[in-house]
Amino acid sequence: MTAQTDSTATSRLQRDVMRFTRRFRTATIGIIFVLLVITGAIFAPIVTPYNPTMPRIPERFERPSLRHMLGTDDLGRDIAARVLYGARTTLTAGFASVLLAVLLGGAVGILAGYLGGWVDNLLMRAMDIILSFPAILLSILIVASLGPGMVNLILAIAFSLVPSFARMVRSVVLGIVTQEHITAAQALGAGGAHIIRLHLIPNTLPVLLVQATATMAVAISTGAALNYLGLGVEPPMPDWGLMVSEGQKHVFSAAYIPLIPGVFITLTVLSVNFVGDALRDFLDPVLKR
Amino acid sequence: MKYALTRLLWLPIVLWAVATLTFGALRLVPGNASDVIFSLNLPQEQVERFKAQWNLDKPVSQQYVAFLSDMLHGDLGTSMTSAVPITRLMYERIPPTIELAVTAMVLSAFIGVLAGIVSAVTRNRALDFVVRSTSLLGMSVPWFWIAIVLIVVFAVQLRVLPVGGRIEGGMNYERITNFMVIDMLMTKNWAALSSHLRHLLLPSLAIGLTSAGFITRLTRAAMLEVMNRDYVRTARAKGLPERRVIFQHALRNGLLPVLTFLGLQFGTLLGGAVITEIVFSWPGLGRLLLDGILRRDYPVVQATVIVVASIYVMVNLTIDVLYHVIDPRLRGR
Repeated sequence: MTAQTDSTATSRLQRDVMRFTRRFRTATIGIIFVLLVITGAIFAPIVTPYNPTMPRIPERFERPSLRHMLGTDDLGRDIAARVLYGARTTLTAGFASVLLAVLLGGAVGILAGYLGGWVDNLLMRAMDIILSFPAILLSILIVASLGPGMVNLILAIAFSLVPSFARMVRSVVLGIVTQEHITAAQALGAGGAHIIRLHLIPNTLPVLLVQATATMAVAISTGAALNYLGLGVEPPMPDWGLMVSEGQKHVFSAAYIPLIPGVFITLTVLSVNFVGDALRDFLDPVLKR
Repeated sequence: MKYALTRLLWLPIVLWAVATLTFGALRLVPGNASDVIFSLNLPQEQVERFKAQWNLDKPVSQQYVAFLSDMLHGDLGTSMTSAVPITRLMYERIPPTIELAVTAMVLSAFIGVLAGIVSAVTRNRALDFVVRSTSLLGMSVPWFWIAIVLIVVFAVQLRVLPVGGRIEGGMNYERITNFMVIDMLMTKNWAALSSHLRHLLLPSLAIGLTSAGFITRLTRAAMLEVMNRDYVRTARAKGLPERRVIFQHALRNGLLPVLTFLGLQFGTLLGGAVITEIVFSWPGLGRLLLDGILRRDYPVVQATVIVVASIYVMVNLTIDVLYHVIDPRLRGR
């Protein structure tokens, strides 16, 4: 009996996955690419025999070959190895900043929407002020103030992303606080924390997921840009944005050095965009076209 | 009218908030730029003199009051490293950045709207698929990297376009407004103008391509939306050529959301200009900002951030108000 239910459950899951992959082919490609990059980043020491930071001067400026699949840079470091290790900083910055922004923005949005009144006004005006800066400028201001480094990079990206999450969650919350089941819960004497935990948070999760995925693309780009400007992680730590800026001086003689890491930034952001698009279509059929 | 007035009344408050946030971010956070000067192991006396000169010996509240009063008098402070008044630096640096952002906006609007129409008209056919994938690719490419790709293709391989600076070195031109296009048109200096435009093309393309991707998608969606409307069907039914149906009936209404988006996009383009200037050694606000950060010249950082954000706020305000003027449905709200 148990075995039977298990097998039907599996086949249903299989069917769902099949349907998703058929309907969202590009998203599937995107997911596979991101998973590949994540796996490569985690198992980098196993995947590549090369050290990403140690210079090997006799092997510098080697074009892509069987020995060095993506060639070597101006210090003779294997570019493929640097791409694999660099994925760690790039992806960590992207994921962590979005996670932080979701938590902060979600909290602000729920408090503003649920409490209303002057709390709502105060919080939303604060969000407006953050939004009156171009996002990348705000991130630059914050890293300029906090100094370089991974944690500061994450904080800087997250801060500029908070308002969009806050606004969205607030609008969702405003839409549901007046519904009957909330009124009923309040009538039964449910406290604010209870309502937020059991009614508001679950209802905001789908939109948060869509927004978070779409924002991830922005966050990865922003992180890469800050690293490119030299305001993020510090050399010799490998990072895709940093690799582009370090390789830029060889644009006339060995253009592959700055170009290759950028290909990986673009493909990763593109993959995330594919997934974000599919999720939005999936959860919001009205927008589908 | 009432709407425009309310928005205008809010403007000083928004600008004050922008200035205050910038001031606060650079001072209240531990390990801020102004502390670095004191970690340089200079003689005590020199540090004291430096502190007094930059008001750093006073409490933050007094610094803030002095800062606000300076701002109200149009004084952005003095550069710590070059002792030049920042207001003068701004005269040098604002026009190049605006040039880039505006050119990028024009290019991205042109490419985006055109591609969006093509995509909508050929909906779900091969060409539509190509345009849609390209626009998504365009949205995903980071500015600084597409800038390098453009350099490799057009300057290194094809050798058709120059890289670096706003104009060929050694070329003579007269400075009036410091907006090169305007100055050169006024003085009818065609040789310099052509050189400047050729220098302008790659950086603004690098900034604009990302926005062009967004605009393509938006235009496509907006066009598809209006193409299903009754008045478009009527236009078709009365036998108008398809071209007129698309350009005169559908496009006019379809473009409204695109216009608003262009306004919002200006901030992104300004940000893009800040980054792309670094790649092309373009002497604008982005270069100034990054140099300020690297040299710990925090009055320059502070002034640049405030100026860029203020430009952004004012452009958004203008677009918003214009939008209300253009669209009669929004009047009286």
